[in-house]
Amino acid sequence: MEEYLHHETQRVGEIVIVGPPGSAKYEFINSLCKDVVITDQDVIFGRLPVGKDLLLFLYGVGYNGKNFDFAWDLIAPKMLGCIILFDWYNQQSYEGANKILDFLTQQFSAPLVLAADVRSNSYPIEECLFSAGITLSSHVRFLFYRSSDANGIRRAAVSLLDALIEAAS
Amino acid sequence: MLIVQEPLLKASFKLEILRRLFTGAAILPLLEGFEAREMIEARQFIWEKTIEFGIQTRGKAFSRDDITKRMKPISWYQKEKGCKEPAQKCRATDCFYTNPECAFAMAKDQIEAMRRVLMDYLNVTSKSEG
Repeated sequence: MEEYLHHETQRVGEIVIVGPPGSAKYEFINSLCKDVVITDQDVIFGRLPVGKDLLLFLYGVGYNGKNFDFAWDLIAPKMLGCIILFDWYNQQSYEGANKILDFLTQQFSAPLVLAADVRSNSYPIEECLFSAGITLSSHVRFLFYRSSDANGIRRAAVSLLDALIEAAS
Repeated sequence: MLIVQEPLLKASFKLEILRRLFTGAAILPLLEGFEAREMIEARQFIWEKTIEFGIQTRGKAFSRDDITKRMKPISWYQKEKGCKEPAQKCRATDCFYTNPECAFAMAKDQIEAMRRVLMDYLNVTSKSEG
């Protein structure tokens, strides 16, 4: 229980996990955090301690294809960074992720990681070619992952942390 | 004074380029109707990815020549068009504004050449080749 408490000396950062309907936001957050809560506002919330000094709040929020909901308005202005999840092999999911991506890159300068879920399929390219994240622009990276694979999920989170460190340095 | 221009191409466009590269789909249809700056940015983005994946897959054996040897030399375009401008103008982006027909054709040829190099690096089969 001790590790979930927010110590006064701990810095808190807020990370948004967003994706079109069907993207595995719960699986993603649940894989990283030990206690995950789904709120009344349909926000998935988890705490991720990073060492002793940093606690990340992960917010999984939806996108309905037209605009962002109430939860998004509250969280987005404070977010350190964002991970966009989508299903690589689902055209609707891909198109949804494109809309989110353009919205976020036009509205915010926070680092973004685009994580494309290949589900149980093989990766389209060799893993070593995207493991560090493929750069789309100075603050957007792309990688593949599997929503059933904890290591891939961790890699996406680490890619965002790397981008945050780079942006801060 | 150095003026840094904001990129014109949306992040989703770059994602679509990656998607096409990873699935072996053609890129040129995406570029129809592009203006000069968009074409220059698209070519630059694909060039950067070609270099990145080239270094990752070939390591020390990587050479720029792997890419440029698949492209027609500038002299070919000059001869084709009877162009007397210095080659330096062609290497830069001046021609996109002074001789757009030739510059756009060359950029498209270069992008297609880079796509083919990338197919090799990524071990992806081109859809157009079946």
